[in-house]
Amino acid sequence: MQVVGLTTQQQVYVASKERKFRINEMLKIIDSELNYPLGEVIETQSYNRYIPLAIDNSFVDQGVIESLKSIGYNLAEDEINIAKVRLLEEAPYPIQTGVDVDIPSFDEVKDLLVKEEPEEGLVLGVIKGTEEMASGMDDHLKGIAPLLEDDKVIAQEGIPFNFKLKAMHKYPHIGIIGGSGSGKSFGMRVILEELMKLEIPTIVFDPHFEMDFATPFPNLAEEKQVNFNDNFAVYQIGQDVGVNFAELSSKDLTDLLAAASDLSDSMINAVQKLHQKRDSLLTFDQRLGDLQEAQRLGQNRIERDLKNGAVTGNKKEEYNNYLGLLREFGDLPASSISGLAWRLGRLKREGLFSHSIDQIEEGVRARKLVVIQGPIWLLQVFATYALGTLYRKRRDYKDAQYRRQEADYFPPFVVATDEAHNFAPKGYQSPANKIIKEIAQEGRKYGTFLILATQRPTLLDETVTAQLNTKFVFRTVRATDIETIKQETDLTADEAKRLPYLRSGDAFVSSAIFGRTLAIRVRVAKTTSPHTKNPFEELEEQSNVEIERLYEAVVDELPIASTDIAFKLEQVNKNLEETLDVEQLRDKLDLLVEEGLITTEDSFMNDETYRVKD
Amino acid sequence: MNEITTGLKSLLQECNQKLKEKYQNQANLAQKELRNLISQKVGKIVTLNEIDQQEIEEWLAEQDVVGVDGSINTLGKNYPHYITLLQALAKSTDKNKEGIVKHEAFSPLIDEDRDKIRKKTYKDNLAQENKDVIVYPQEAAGKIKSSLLAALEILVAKDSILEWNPKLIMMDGSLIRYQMQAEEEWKRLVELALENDVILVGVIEEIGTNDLSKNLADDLPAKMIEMYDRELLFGLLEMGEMIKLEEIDSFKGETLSSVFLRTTRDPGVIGLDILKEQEQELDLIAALVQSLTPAGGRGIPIWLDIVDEEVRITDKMMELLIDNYLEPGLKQKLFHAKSLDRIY
Repeated sequence: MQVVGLTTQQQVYVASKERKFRINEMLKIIDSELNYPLGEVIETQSYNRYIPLAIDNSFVDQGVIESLKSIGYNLAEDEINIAKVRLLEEAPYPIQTGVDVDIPSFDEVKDLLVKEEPEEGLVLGVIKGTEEMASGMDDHLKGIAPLLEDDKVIAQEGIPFNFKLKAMHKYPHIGIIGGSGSGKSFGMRVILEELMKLEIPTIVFDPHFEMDFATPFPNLAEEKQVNFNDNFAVYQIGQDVGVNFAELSSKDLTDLLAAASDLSDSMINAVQKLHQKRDSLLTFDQRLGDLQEAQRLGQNRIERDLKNGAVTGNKKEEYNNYLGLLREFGDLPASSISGLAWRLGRLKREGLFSHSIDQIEEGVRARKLVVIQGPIWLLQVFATYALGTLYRKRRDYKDAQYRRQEADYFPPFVVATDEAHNFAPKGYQSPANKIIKEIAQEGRKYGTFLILATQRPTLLDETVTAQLNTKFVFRTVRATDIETIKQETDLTADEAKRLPYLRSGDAFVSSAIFGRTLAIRVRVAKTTSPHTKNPFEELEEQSNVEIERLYEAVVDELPIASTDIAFKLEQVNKNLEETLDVEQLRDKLDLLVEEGLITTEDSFMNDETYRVKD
Repeated sequence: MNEITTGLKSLLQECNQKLKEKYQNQANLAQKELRNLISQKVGKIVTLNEIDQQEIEEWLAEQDVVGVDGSINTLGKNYPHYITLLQALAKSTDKNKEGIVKHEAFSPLIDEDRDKIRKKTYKDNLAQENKDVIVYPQEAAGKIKSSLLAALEILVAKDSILEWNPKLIMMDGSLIRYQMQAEEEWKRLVELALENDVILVGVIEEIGTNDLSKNLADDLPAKMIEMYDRELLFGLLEMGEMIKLEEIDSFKGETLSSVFLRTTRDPGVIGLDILKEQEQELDLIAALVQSLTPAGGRGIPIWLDIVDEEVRITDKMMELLIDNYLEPGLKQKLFHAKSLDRIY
């Protein structure tokens, strides 16, 4: 290997006849005057001057190459491999052309590539292009990041990529960018597994209901499996966790209601007027309901009924109350009030107000990973509320500490979510936008960190994007997103060009911690999403189950003559625990025949009999 | 401006007319008749056998094929202010064997070379039959250069026999060129080749002979008598066909056997020369040449292209060499052509 051609202070070309270059591999340039600079291969090419791409001129056909081989000359051996190598650090003056190039030993790159011991940091995968250096690696760096190749788990190849979690204190927040199938969710899962390993309190908002860590990855060897069951908890909004209505500010409530369905200006106005401090769900709901009823009845009728004594006792009291409400809020449009009532009803039906966030808080304090699942519209508002509350606790504790006051301890924590562009969208207000932005800008101070995954970085709030000090960029195809990535990371134009072609699980890491872009391959996850089953396979399986059940129910009643179906019906229905009529049972029996589980036989009188298959 | 191009245009049209008149006569004799005539009087037209890899390997029996080629490049334009570098290479198909290279430099400004030119001029003028025609030193110098290159090529070929003992040496160009331009050296090479059973073959890309018309003079239409072989042969052969010249009157004839063959889709033909003593191998070598030539190519085996690529002294290389090893003052004074400084 040799430096050839024109060199600059930043990059050189290296050529070799024997060795093929691998993208992203590290090379040592034997330029003694520059103290043996290291470089990374950023582009590779092979060329054979005897087999040019000549469209107009003669093309060297295979027959000729074969004949040449038979007289002893192998054209293929004239191939020259060329690598474009970018220096890791700019040199004071250009590299000397013609100097040798070598593969560095592990010790020479250790400081550059291994920033953290594996037990202290997040072992997320391997650094690509380090395969050859890895042999000289310390033992505790080996075998910690097995990889996935065509659905098979293979041994770690290369130096592990250990993300230095502690550096987040200086360079906070992580972004994960990639299209569907790019390995983004996998990457997120691996990061979360590693956070559990270190017992970092984490809150995960999971719109896809996929972040469950109970199922081990199927192809992973048993000794590599880790039981995370004590390290995480999954809660569903409305089922396990919810919002404590009494703690809501009018603004929170507005956001919540808006999440159910958009609010008009007059509705927002109505919420602000109607919602009172220390309102419980009951009091607010009742106020809303009463006002609605009062508006339905109308002031005149209420006054008339009160005057002429048509209402008495409780009813009278009620009517007086209505009158009071009308006086206070009567100017609010009735349509707005009924709109609010409907929205509140929707949230109530979701169970949002029946629970609290106590479990989440407990989980965070116990250094667990807490997964919160729910439909995305609800998750957004819930996140606003839950994050706001927990972040405030953490902030209060830290602020008190800064002021040297006693305060209740609340641990630092990490917030992770997929579809982050829904939580902090660019260009319009979303409920969670404010709190995410606040954590993005101030979280470092309070030890609250974000891990935001999105497939549309272009749609993510720019203030937030700018605060993501580490970005994992997976395969991205959309040109606008690639453009955004180029602006927001230190990926070079060459690297950006490779984005649409990255393999699933390969990513560029652009991080202030490393100071440059690294290409990595994410390790195999130790656990798997609970619903990776293909829905079409599931459909097939489910029908098979149905047919099996049907068969079990009729098999003891066979043979059944078609004239006898009515007699057997009762018993079959009992077995099936269903109520079929004669025609339905006949269809079911025909279905079993079609599936080949039972057979029919013509009996006399031109009838048929269903029989057990031999 | 307009006038100039108009003038050139009419001149070219005139040229075209003249050429057309001359070559349309070829139509007087249909391709078929010409083929018949050739096969009756000059040599058989045969179709080459296809040769497969195994046959080649068996024939070679672990021996190599060597390609020989030379290159020449000159700095400076006008006699005697120029310097010429010559280089010849013998390259074996075995990659482990480093090519044999020989170099030479020639410049009329150097005393020894000038002496050579003087002698050559004198000799050639003596030999000249028509005393009105004078041989000038620049012509003599040109001839010396050609001879030097031929001699260099022969020398590397000779060394390749001594070092590698190959089965076959393929030379770029007609063997007659070596025989004429470096007679002594050639003789020695032939002896050595025959002694060691090394086959010498010359591959001729640009056929410059007129043997066919000379030998068919009595049967050709008047206007075709003057035609060169390449003109007559253009489009005459199918791809993979070969004319084996037999018993014809040619200045090559005494020592060499020749064939014409069409190896590509291009209608032009190439020629092969081989020593008379080795002509029994001609069929096989023609087939080998055919199999080594890309069908869409320029007709000569790719092996010679590879050798040529390696030996060629490119202008760039020439410039680098001169700039490095010739004092700038000398270069400017002796070899620099003012025309190179033209702005437009």
